[in-house]
Amino acid sequence: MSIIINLDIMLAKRKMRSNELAERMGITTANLSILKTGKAKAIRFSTLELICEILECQPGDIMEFTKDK
Amino acid sequence: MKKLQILRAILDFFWFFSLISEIGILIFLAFYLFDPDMEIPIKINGHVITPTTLLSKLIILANVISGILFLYSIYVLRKVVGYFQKKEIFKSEVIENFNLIGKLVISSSLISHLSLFIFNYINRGPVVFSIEFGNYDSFLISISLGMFFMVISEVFKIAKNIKEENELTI
Repeated sequence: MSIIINLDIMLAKRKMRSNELAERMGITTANLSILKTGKAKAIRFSTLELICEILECQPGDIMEFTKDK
Repeated sequence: MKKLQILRAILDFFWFFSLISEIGILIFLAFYLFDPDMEIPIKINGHVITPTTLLSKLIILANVISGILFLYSIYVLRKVVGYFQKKEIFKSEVIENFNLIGKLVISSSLISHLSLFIFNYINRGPVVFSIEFGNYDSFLISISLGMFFMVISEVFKIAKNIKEENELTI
């Protein structure tokens, strides 16, 4: 996967736990875990919007593109 | 789904009676092919074959093998319907089984029709190249049916991927 999710880093910067983020977003912790571990195949704009709003960041802060070797 | 139950019942009925007759044929075949005094003519797909030569015996054997392959495809189809009844639709087993059914139906049809063609060709019988319409036993219909199952397998593979993507969209 060439898109890396840096949600853990952002959560640490905001000193927020995964459970709290999931609760505020209105999704299950299992779904948030899928996103955090990079198992997700796609992310909805609405989900991305919520994350950015709650963590007060830009989409680029939680996602990173890397070239496959 | 009531249609699924009806389909399962028909397949079970067909499978059970075909299995019994196939076992009977296999037992009969053992005596029939190796006993030189048994020269009872057999009618296969409209062709009368008497097991006097090695070739005619091989043709009969090929047609029995073709029957076994077709019966196995019915068994696999029963398994697929079983998965559907358990609501396990987009499983990799279903995809593999659909592909297998297609291959079995095509192989069965090819073996049966080719062997009869060779038999007629060698025995200077009426070598017929015909396209039959409105007949479910025709070569084209059986090949198309086999190909259809293989296409269904591909469609299910695509559907499985879409389902997985949908489930992993957050």
